[in-house]
Amino acid sequence: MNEFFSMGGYAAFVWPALGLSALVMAALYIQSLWTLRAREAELEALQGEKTDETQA
Amino acid sequence: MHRFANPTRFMRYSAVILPWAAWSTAALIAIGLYLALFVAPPDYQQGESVRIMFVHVPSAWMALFVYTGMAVASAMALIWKHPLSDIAARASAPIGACFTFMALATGSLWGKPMWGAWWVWDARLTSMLVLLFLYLGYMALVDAFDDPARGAKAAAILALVGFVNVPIIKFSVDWWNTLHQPASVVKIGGPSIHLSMLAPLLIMVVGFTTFYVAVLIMRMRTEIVTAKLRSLQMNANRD
Amino acid sequence: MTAFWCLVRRDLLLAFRRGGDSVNVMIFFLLTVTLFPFGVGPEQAILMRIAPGVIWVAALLAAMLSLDRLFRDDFEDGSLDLMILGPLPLEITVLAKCLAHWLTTGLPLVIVSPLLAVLLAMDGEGFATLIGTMLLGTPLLSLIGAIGAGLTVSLRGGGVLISLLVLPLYIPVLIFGVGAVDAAVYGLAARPHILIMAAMLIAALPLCSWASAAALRLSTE
Repeated sequence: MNEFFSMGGYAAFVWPALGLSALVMAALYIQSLWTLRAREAELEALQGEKTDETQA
Repeated sequence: MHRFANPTRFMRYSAVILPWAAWSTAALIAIGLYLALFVAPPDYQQGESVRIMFVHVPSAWMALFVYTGMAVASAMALIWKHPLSDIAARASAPIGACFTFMALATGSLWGKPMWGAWWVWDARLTSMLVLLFLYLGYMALVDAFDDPARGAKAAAILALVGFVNVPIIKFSVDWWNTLHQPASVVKIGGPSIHLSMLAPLLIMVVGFTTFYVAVLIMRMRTEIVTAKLRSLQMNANRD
Repeated sequence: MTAFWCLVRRDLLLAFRRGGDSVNVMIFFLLTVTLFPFGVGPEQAILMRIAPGVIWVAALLAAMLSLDRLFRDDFEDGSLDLMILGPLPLEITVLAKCLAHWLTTGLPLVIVSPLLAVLLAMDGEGFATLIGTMLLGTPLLSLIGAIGAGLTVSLRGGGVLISLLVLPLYIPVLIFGVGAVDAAVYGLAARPHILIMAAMLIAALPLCSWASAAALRLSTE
């Protein structure tokens, strides 16, 4: 186990590299997803209003 | 082609494709990482640090692949006025910029133990850095326009100009670098990569590609929804 | 053809009346280069080594600062719309304006460069090559810059944005320009670099004018 984590002595480089990549990709994915959901919610709300208006 | 030009159709198709892309990404990267970390052998020269290659190389390839995609989409937007193309181009830019940044950062972390330096002005690194600037400039230009339609066309022109420039930059930096003799020569896995290394590498590349597709779809959908929002809000203000 | 020269003359007249521009560009060029000895120390050996690079980078920055002017005044007073609708193809109009721009900002840089080479203790061998490459390079800077200027002319505060867009595109010009002078200084062949710069200039004439025209049409829609 220890051998795996130490990556032959290169741990200080390998794990930050993998971690940074994971972080960047996850952040990009999450940001894209959140923005999409937020806009969709806004659209739903606005469209809901419109149908209320036309019904009123 | 024109069948897919309809945003509504795109919304329908992409809604189906998105979960597939997302799950494939997770599966492929999981498998790729497992093979990369546990099955692939340490490199003869570079030891365990070669594991970085399995994120570095896919990032670099994606950085270039996404830019090419942006250029193609921009050309389609300008020449055939395909409505979804400029949305695709603009949605791709942040993704490409992230991959370029990842390539530079992981490369730097790989370079320090291998070459003894965080950064060298090697032809490839320098070209990648300039590619990052091209992405950032593109994103800044899109942002600067109030009118999104005009911003899209301006960005399309810039993307194409930049794309023409990429081989020129690559060539000129290569020339510049060979003139000043590089400090050391980088060999990735040697002339023929063994299957135990090639397989995880390719799996990671495919995984990164499905990641790109998933995020691209999300960002394109966001743009289309935002456009609908804007037109609804304008109509609301009018009433 | 006369329309072309009319346009060049008009731009030169306007620049002349405005007065400051060419002089400001030259002063900026001079000032920037002067900063370097303060930054890296007055040692001849170091200055000699970095002289071609410093002069070229300073020229790049000086050229870039003047880019916003290329189309903005015409855009703001409506002349640009007239030019687009006018008898000359827009691409030729762009070339005319680039020529005028180069005469008022690029050429002064070329003229001042030997002085700066002396200040930075550059080897005598490099002088002729420096002037030659700047004669080839500064028009390139105007042409490539025209693309950035065209894209940003309708934007408020387009100045810094132009730098962001145009500097990466300037890098090949910089590489070959400095490469040529370095080669001359070290007694190597500068010809390949100069030939490539000439090729870039010839290619830029149609390509940059076309891209810039497309950008201008877009900006004035």
